[in-house]
Amino acid sequence: MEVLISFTILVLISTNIAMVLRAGRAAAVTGTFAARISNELNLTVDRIALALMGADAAALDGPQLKPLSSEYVRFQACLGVEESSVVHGPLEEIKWAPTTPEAGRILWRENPSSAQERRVVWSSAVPATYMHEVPSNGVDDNGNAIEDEAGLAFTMDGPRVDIHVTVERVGHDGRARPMQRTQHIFCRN
Amino acid sequence: MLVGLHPHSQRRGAALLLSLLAVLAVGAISATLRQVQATIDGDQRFCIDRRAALYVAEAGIAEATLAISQGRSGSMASEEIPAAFGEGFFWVEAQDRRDRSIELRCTAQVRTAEFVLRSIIVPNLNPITSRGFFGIEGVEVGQGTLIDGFDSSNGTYDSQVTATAPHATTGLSGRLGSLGQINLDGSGTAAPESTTFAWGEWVVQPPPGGATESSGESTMGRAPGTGATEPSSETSSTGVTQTATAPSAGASTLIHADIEGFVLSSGDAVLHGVIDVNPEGFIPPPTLRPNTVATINGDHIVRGAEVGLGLESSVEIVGDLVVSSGATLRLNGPFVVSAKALRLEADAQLLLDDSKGPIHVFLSEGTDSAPSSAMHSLAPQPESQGTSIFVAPPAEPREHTSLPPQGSFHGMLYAPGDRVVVPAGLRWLGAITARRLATEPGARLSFDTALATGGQGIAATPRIASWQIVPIGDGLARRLATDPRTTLRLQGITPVPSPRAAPETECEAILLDESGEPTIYTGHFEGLASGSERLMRMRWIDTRNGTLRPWIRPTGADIDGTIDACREKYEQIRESLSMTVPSLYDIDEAALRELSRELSVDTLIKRTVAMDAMAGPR
Repeated sequence: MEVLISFTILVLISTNIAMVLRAGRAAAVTGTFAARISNELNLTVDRIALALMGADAAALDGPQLKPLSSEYVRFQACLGVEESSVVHGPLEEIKWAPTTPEAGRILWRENPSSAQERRVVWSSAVPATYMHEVPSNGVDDNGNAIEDEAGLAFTMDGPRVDIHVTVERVGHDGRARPMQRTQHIFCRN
Repeated sequence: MLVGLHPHSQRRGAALLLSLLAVLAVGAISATLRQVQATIDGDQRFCIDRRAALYVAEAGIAEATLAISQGRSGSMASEEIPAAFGEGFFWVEAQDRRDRSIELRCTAQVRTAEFVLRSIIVPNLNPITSRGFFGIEGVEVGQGTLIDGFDSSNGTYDSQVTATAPHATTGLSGRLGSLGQINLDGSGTAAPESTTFAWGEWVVQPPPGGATESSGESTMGRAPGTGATEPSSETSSTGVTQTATAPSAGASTLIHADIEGFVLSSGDAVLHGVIDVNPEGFIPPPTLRPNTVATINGDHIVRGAEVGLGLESSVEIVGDLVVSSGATLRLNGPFVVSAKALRLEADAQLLLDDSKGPIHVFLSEGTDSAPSSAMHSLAPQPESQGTSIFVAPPAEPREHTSLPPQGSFHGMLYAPGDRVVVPAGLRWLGAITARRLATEPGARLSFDTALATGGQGIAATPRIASWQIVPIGDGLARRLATDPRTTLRLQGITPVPSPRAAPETECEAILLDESGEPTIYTGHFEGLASGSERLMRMRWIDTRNGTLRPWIRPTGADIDGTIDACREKYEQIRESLSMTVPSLYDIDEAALRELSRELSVDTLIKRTVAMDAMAGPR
């Protein structure tokens, strides 16, 4: 009788543990997954923003006026002033580079296309199109006043540069989970 | 107790043991999840703190910039006792640079993040004089003109001359600019007779004879267009001689200057400098006029030799200021005069001595100078405290403001509504901003870089020349192990409030009492506020090494609310720009300058005049 009771309790506890674990795991995975995407997105946007803040606004190449946009920006950071002349750093580039037809990554390159080129991948999960945007239809599908923008898009509004980034990863349930963020910055130089 | 000694006691508690293991397993999983979550939270918090630290660092740079505008060093607080701002702390280390700019390094700490910014500040950049020779709508450089630069804080122009042929020049860069075209083949129609020169081919010589100033007579440059190699001379009653070496006959135009604007040249002009074809926009800054205490109704006519205009040091003439034929008017600084027009008749002389204080001349209808009139600055250039001539912009374009054709002037002329022609016989040391600027063939203009900073009747504000993130730690910001607030609390340190973080409190000032006698004040700066004397100059005692900072001068008195009017004016210009480009409502000053290039100067000047008229006489 005691064995039977013990066994029943054991089964009940095991079942409960299994249920808790399953629910907890799903919640944890979902939460961790969302936090991970959010972290990656924030980190990427911050890196781009901080790089562009120190750039010379007059030497900024790439960002377009809305509704157009650009998938890249080229710039030179201001390193200081020597004898009244601004000293610029090497040419830098932040661009979206495709890895598959639907996805790509954000590349930071210093001295692009030269022998001294250095490159760092800032995000490896950037889709070809911005969130809810249908590519190449000439229409602003997601209502953000930009047409056919990519997962990484740069626009400008006077002296202001807008950075639009989408990061998308496939969740444990097999569904793609995109997350997007837009940041406005002013070049300080 | 005996009950517990059951034959099957080893099987008892098996369920409890399993339960315990299960609870432990759940606990371990929870701890792991919590750790993962804590790591994610930590990363997110660091991102937030890093951004906050960036903004606190920018606030620190702003506080230091304000301190620099007050003449202080720019240092703020210290690592040991930082300044508090919001939930963070900062301190700024400042270092003076050779070109008078100041390098700031601001370290900010907010909770878990430390961020460092480096910035280079040009102190109190004067928006007019820093442009050197600037024609808003265009510049025409006459053939054989010399434009170069010098620094009056390092000595006189002549003491800095390093080459004598074909022009006596310092070889230092001046400034030349325009929003329109800069024609280097201007009014001089004669073709240059010689080949062009390269700077390296010139004879470099030491300063000819050292200082060239002595008492007795005043030596002028050659007459316009004569090409005379021997300088003509003219005796002056001022007791000061200023030598100007005339260029050789038919000399090429020589531009030793950095140029902002679109340059037209056939190639005959020799140019040494950098051309920036994208000039900054021009917004006419309002002038800050010191209060005038005496008024002269009608015209004031000077006959014979006259010093000053009565006993007062600030005079408003309702009519014209006329220096009649053969008469001499000497103005000794500090002096403020305003009039409708300044008229110099034949052989009249205007003498300006700003060695004891600045001279401000405000004219609403410009100057009218007879062909044989002259204007002379008497103070040695290093001792000059600034002569500024302001010609108010007319509602409609005026033909031109005519300058006296002879003499030597050190200071600035601001005539945004006039066409100004610099005569060949008038040696110009300083800066000019005019609607259109032209030089006669053989004219000599030297930009005084010392005038580029500091207010001369115009609000001068510091300018950020460079802004840079300094990478620290393993990235752009460093993670802090402990919150700096906790660290400071444990150490018993109270941070200083951000507005009081500048360490300089002792100063030295030169004041003028009502009799015009200068007195020197040394002590705490709060002691300056109680006196009724007029503040002429002031400098701070640098707490880092006990030395004295450079002198600063008050730009002007705000007795009649000029600064408020200035702010209102800027706001109206900002609004008009915002209406032009509606999406740019929140634009900063740099953006404003950029955008102002797209507005016509006429519109801005008319707006300025209209607002001045609305404000009424000051």
